[in-house]
Amino acid sequence: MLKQYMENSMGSPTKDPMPVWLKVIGVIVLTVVVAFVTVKLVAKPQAQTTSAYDKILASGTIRACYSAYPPYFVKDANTGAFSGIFFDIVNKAAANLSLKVDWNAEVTRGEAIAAVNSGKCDIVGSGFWGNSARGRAAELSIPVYYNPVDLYVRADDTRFDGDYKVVNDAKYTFAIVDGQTSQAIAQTQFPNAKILALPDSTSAAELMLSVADGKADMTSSDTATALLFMKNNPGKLKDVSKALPVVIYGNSVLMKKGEFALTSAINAAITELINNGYVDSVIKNYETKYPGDYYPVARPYIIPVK
Amino acid sequence: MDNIKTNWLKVLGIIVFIILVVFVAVKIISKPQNQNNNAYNQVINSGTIRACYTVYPPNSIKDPNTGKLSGIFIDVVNKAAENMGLKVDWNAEVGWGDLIEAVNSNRCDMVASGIWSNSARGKSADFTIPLFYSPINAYVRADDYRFDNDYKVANDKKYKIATIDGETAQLIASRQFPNTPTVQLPQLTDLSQMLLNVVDGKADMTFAEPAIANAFMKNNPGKIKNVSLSKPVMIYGNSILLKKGEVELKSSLDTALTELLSSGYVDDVMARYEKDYPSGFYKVALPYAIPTN
Repeated sequence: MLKQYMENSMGSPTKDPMPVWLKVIGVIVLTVVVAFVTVKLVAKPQAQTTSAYDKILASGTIRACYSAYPPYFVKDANTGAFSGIFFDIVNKAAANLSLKVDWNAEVTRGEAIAAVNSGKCDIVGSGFWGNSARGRAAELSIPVYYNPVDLYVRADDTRFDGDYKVVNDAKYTFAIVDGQTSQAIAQTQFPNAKILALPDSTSAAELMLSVADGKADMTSSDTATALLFMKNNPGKLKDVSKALPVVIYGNSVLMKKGEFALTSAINAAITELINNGYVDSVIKNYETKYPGDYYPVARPYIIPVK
Repeated sequence: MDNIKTNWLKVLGIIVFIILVVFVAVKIISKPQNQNNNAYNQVINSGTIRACYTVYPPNSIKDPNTGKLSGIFIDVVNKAAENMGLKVDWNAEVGWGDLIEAVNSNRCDMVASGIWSNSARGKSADFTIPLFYSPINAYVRADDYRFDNDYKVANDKKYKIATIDGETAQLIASRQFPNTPTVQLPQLTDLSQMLLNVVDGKADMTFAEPAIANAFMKNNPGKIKNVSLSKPVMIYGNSILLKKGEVELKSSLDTALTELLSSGYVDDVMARYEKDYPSGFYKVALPYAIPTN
């Protein structure tokens, strides 16, 4: 029975009416067709699923992670409501792009790049300074504005008054937070100083407190954060780089490496908000509560003198 | 029974053959998209950026005895790479006409000795943001007064302009002085040879940036003069040249260079080299406005 079935279904070698050359062509055609279909199926998902921009346009929503860091992104301790310079600007930029923002996950600053690279969110929209380490692994939008970063020491410490660069010595300790800009500044500009490394979850106030308490001699901060700390802790710290900030960073939206379509869309939206004065008005709104140095983006044009 | 076994084996063989062909086809099609064509992935995987260079003081200086490299771009690019957790392998010197071919042929990931971003190069390559700008001036013999009022009169077939193949002076001559015959020198010729051709009377004018011309005038006092002092013939940004389409590598380098511009590192390096190479470089304008209140 079995033999008969096999011969019926597969053909007998002695009775097979199909010539060998036809079988060979059949196998080749079948192989090419299967290969073509498989390649199409394999290649198609790569082209579509890897683009955050396509997903955003399809859903109408930008999934945004955030780090609470006043005044750039403020999370009300009681209600959980969001506000802040970047919160307002990113929402407005999205609205102008006919999109919504889903502020879907809080991340530490050290987790930001992994968050966009893993697809947890499309952007980290709470404002990020564009340093080399971040540029290596992520894309950054054009800056919304710039922050000078200054160096802070104890108010009664006069060792750095003449030149803050003397801190680049093993006898001094520089306080940093893992994965934050303070770490990049210490590594790139003060490689010889001893490091007091605080965990990624450390708040900006705790970082400054480590200097005030004498655990470290110096740390870096933007002026808004430092002024807020000094307001709450008067007479504890002073700025030793006021005349010449240690670095000036652009404050940007962070995106996954290679997401150029999304970057260009966000850039166009931010440019519009800079040029129509919206960014200035938002900064002015928060500056009252959070005084600090916010350098506006320079005009890319020259107004004719009439 | 043997025939049945043989047929089953044939079917199995065909299935294996199809799977193999499909596997190879998928590999061939998907691999170049993800890895082979992307210098950024290669750089990140290896931890090293392979950099070609031209010798062009003070951007890039090669010690004739030791072969050691120094210069504004060498120092800044090494620092930018270090800040990104990478190393630079300065692996090949290239001629001015070979810049784009060097990155397109994968000989190196970038030409990092400071290249002016002109339109001809921009058509076939990408550039980072500039580290600084170079004014390009027109130089003539010191006792030649024909161009004192307006250097543009040199756009006439009765004059000659000295150029080097593939170098920017050639592009300026072809774009802004199309009527003037050129005296062309082969690529890899030292740039001072163009000025020497003017001094020797083989050409009437050439174009160079102040760093090159000032060094020449120091060694050959009273031989040439600048006739475009009030308005340079051209102003070019000095950038790193990358293969066309290497946008991920470009964005990483742009961020690293921005950081070094903002921290004052670039200013410090330029000040150090300008002592030996007075250059008249134009610094990058601040991208922000410092509030006055």
